[in-house]
Amino acid sequence: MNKVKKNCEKTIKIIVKILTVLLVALMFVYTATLVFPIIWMLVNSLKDPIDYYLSSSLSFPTSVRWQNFADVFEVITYAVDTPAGRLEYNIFWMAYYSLLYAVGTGLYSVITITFTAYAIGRYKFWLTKALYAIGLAVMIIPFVTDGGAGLLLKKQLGIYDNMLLLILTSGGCIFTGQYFFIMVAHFRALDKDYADAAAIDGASEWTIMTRIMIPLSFPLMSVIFVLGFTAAWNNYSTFLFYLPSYANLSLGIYTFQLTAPLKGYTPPHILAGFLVVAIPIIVLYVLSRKLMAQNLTIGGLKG
Amino acid sequence: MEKNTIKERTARKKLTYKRNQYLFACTLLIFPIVLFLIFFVYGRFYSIFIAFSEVDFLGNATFLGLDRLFENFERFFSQIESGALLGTSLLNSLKAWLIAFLISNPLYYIFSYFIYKKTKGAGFFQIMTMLPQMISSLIFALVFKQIVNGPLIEIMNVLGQKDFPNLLSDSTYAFELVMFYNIWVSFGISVVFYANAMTGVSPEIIESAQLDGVWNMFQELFYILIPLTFPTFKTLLVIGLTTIFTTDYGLMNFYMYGAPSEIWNMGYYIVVKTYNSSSTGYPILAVSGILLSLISLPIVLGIKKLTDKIDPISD
Repeated sequence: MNKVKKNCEKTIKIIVKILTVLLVALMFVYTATLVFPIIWMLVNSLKDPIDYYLSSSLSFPTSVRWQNFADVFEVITYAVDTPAGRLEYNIFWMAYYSLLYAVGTGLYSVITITFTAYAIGRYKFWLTKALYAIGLAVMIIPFVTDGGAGLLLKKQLGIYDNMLLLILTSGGCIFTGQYFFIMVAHFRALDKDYADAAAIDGASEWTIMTRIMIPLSFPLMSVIFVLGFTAAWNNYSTFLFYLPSYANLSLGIYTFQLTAPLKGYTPPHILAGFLVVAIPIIVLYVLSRKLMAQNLTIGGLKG
Repeated sequence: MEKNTIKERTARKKLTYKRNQYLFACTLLIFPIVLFLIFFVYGRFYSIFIAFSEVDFLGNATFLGLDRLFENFERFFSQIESGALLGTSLLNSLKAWLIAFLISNPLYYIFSYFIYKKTKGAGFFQIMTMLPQMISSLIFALVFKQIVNGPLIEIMNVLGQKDFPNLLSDSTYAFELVMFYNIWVSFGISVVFYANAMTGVSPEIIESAQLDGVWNMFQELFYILIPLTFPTFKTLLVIGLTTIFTTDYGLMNFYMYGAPSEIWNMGYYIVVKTYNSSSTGYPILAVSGILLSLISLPIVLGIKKLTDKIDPISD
């Protein structure tokens, strides 16, 4: 009986070890599938268009054609119809609007989330408690927006086709969302002794917030900025739906890949375009990934 | 007498201090509250108003009362019954969420475990999983589209599958391919959250579990890590549930407005009907939004209550 039990245990141990190895292998395979598109995109963006069609798309280029990237700077354009007439944005104008919108949105997110989370996290009275509860409710109650009413409202309020106002009014509810609650938890966890000591020395609430609490929160604020910046940089739908007189790089590349075959441009050009749009964000990600990995935690929903 | 005066002065000082704090907090909260009242509260009421109205081609809404509301409800339900696009979209949203949930979550836990245990290669894995969400979900989707239309067909031809279709264009396979894509790119932030939650588990608990006989990853996961990181799972589950009918699962990225009708979901339906159709259809969209919110609400709250009950570490 003991022998049977021992054999069973041995078998179970072997099975568990095999399963563990298979799961680790699955992780490696999955990682490889994420690496492949990036390498494939890089390799094929350097191919001569004729080479791309005559050879396998899995092969390396017979000759490297950097000209594809130069071509992309000329051919990615986006035309908009404005009351003043037809405007055609080149890649530099689109990059300008991408940067403007992304920096604006990133800064707006970090400032509004930080100030709101500070108020709700640090001061506990009826208003902050109510807003916290409302924020939780908004996060867990599924409000299915119909889009149409939202679009009409934006047009009525003059926000439609106005980048500044769109940024300033983005996110109907600032005191909700996972990053807001992470920020609130962060401010609640900060040692109050720093603030109390400053108060004793005569510091105002504004001084305590800006000179003590916010500097202690820079890593988390940086994460929120990076996430807001990245989402805004990659966002083409806001420009497509709400900013018809503007264009950013994501919208430009989105429409370019749809129309490129009609204009005689090939996958190497399209892939080169993808890289041009993606490179700033890849650089930002590489610089900020440790910051994000260390600062993103999410606990439970209470209430 | 002096003692009382000192006490009174201290109490007054405390009150002034508290009052200043509350005033400061209120100042910080004015802007978020105003924004919330206009774009969230008024926005929802405006949506309800649209449900009672007729909207013309120029977007002008005329309130017509209960009769129009009931007419719009009727149209909503008849479209579902007749198997029209609205019904297909609704069903696809439910299917997509369920598939993504059942396949992704076990994998999130397993891959997070390897990151938590600092398995060789896990660091590189963590960098790569964030890439689709960080580089650009759009670019990743478009590269995926190019791969499906290029190398994938080449590989299948080499494996003997001549005339292998472009899976994204073939409505027989498009739904499954879109689901595969969504699961494939979804790991990023979720894995980071779970791995960080596991890191928060006290090493003493793991050590004492090992002394009690826990010797492999599956036991560690089932008996220790999953229960202790349940709040994180609960939060992500509830947040995920609220997006069942609003996410388009990348259809806009792949197809713009031209996705095959068999694979439409509610998020995509709302986008196309809002931005690529006449504003005369907005009332029925408003009704859809209201009804789907009412349908989703008990589901979300019910599941939240259930997870609160089974939460092994709830207080």
